[in-house]
Amino acid sequence: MPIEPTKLNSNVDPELLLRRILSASTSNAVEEILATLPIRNEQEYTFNSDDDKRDWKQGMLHWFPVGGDRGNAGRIKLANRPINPIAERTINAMESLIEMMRRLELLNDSSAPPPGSPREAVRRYFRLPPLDQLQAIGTIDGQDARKYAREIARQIMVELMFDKKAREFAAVIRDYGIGQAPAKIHRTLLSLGSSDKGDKPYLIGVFGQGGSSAYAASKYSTVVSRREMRLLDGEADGIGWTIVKHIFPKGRRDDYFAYLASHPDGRVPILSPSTADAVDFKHGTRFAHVDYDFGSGGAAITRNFFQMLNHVLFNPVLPFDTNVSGTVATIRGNGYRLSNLKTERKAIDKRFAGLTIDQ
Amino acid sequence: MATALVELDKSFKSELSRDYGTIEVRVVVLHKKVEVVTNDEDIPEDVEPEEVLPSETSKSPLANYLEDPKRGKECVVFLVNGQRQEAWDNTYIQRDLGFKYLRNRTMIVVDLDGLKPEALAEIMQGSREHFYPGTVYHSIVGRLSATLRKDPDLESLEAEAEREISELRAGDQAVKQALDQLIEAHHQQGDHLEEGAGESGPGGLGHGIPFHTSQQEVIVDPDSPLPGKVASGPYLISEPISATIRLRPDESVDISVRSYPPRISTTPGLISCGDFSNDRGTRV
Repeated sequence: MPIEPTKLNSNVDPELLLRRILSASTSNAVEEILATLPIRNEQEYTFNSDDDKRDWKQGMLHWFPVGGDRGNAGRIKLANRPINPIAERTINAMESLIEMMRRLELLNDSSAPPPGSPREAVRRYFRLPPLDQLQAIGTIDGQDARKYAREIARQIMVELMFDKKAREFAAVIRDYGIGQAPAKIHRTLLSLGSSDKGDKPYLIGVFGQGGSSAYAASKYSTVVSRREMRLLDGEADGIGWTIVKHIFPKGRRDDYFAYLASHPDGRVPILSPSTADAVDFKHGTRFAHVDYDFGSGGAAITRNFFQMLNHVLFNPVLPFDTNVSGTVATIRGNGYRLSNLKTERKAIDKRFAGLTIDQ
Repeated sequence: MATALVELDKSFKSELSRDYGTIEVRVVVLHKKVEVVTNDEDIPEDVEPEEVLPSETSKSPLANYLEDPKRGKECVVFLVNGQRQEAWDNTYIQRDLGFKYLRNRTMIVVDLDGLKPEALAEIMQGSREHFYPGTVYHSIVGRLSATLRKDPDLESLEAEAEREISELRAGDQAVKQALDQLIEAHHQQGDHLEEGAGESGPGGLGHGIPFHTSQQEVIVDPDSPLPGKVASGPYLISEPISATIRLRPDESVDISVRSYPPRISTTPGLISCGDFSNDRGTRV
């Protein structure tokens, strides 16, 4: 008998649930959500790739290993600095914007050649040069280049929240890009190493797992995504969501990372398009990494966050916004910041002189 | 908030060996001084009660452009699609390039987007943190070092910085000498805090100097009769006067003693402690 995807009880208000997921910024808040859901005890369900229906209990959500792999910890615990997973997620957000523009381009002209690189894609779709050249270019389409870039940056928001009472950080990366059809989220956003970027020279990532390292840096992660309506490719509209956490099987040493799945094939719970519309979630993806572990860090994280992102994304292909405890700033990278400095009287300015050094 | 000034900003492309592709290098040298603009910044919400926040005034010109100025001086960065994939600290600038005086204010940005896909694939690691140190990596490093080590602009700035440091040292030396003179003069005038004052000593001798009870002693004072006793001579005069002599381990002190009135010429020289026989003499 086929197993039906788990549906939430009628006493769960989907809009309220979605709002709570989107606003959860502490581990307590996530645990309160989990307490309202029909979830199989993590010690009672063990994913088996040879028989994915084994131990599955109809009508319940199960902790399903990220990437469908119980041995995923080694591929997720890759971050050796707290800021890197956030940077990887931000790169993913940039890719989702580029991919959306590319797919929309193909809708209009199916023979349009792909951009040869991420920078070329950004130039074609967003008319932006490398950001360290913004200052030199001055204007784009008659607008101040810096302000123009700031408008583009609004399509990606990296938010850092700090809960004083819980003493917990939450890092949220929200993009207004292509998003994923809910029925495909488990094979895309929650996959590991199964990237479809290899034949797309205009995208950035290759390994298809960089952003997943954020799961290891946080106690819980919430994932919400909705596909751009024109790019559903025959899939049903709706908004997929899930929660990711670290699982420690009793009596075993092979910890792994798992998300809430509604079906043995790994599909995530889905809410209706009207529910998504009700919370104004048109398209794109939102990752929230709750109780993010920045370590002791020394200096205050909120103060250094802007600086850290500017360094690790030194000259990003796209600008993006950050919101650190309510203070919004646009990040264009240190490449731009250095170009924006005042020059000394005797400065030697040979920026982009096109000087080529032969061997 | 500190704003840096830039002294050099130059970019160039360089072809790698073995057809690996090209790299683009940008070198930015900041001025050693920063403009400090004070703002009323909010205290971060996550600050711990005992945490000491970094001082703006202690920041180097590059501090605002590093991930964490306290931990890493990652001023040499390697980018792929604008994302930092590898970073070195400023020992590269000092040791490999030899620009000791520019090391704290130079940022080197190496853009690897011009590498062939095969070359890029060889150096990229799954962790996205460091490159694999194979042949491609060494080709990049070799080209970078060879190009920058003899860069005339960097050499010029290094020479200028070195000259400024030398001048600063010379200035420091002059200040030190002036201070030494001042201190020595102070010692010479040590008994002039009050007219006729003597140096306080272990026995509480001296007059008018704190820390000991005043004690009267008959001494010879040719210039002022207070509190010494006027004498027409002959008596002995030491230079410096005994009250200002400071004896320190392993240091020699020149003390000349002459008679007054000078019946014969005296030759300054080292003397040993001795008894100048009567209350009218100067004790050493």
